[in-house]
Amino acid sequence: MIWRVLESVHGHFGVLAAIALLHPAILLRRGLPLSRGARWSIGLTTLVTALAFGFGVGIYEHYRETAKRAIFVESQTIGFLFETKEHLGFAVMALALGAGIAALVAPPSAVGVRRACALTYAAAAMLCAVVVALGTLVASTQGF
Amino acid sequence: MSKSPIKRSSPIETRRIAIALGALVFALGAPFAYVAQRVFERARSGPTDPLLVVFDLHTSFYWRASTAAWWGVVLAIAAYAFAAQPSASTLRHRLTRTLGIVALPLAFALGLAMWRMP
Repeated sequence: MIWRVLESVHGHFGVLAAIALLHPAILLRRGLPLSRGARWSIGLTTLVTALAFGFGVGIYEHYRETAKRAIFVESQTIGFLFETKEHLGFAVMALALGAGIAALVAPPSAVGVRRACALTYAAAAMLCAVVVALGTLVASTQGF
Repeated sequence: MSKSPIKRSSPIETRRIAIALGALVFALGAPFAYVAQRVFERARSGPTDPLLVVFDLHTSFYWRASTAAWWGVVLAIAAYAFAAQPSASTLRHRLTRTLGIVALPLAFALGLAMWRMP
């Protein structure tokens, strides 16, 4: 029961992260210095993404023991799609973390750095949407 | 007037820009390192067998991700050392020192953890 709840929390944080990652991508696109609200947005986006990734890592061992085999029995394609989701999840985390640190550290004059951060966030948001879609597909096939 | 999007005016500002560039290099470098490891694994083992995936240890993902993050940190340090350096003459010294201070202990800790938790 607890694993089912944790799986659900992981999924909800993932959806939240996919939406949240779009916000800094829009905020930073012009490279303007960060307002207080923008700093909060970046910090919370990084936190939500880290929570989604962290919950995924936390339930991964139990997933491998209980659900992974059943997924591959049900459909090899779905099983491999989960593996893809796992790889993309790491990429999303790295992109969000790097862009978050860069945006928060960059001085007001570093317009180009913030524009690069916006692109990085946009890429992370796109990949996160794919991860969410794959996660939903896998969870609808076989959960805990 | 320079058309560069990055205007450098003080050492502190230069350092902050260098840290930001290092973070962006990490953002791109870590996923590329992860992909490189997967390509190596696939090249070594051939097409993926579902049975091998099912019996795969859960720790393999953790270590692959940790190793990729380590490579991301190494690349970030190199980018920082390159961007923060006002003159090229001391770049090598700064790069070696920073890699020694950060990346080597991280590599040692990673190796130790991999040995203890295979």
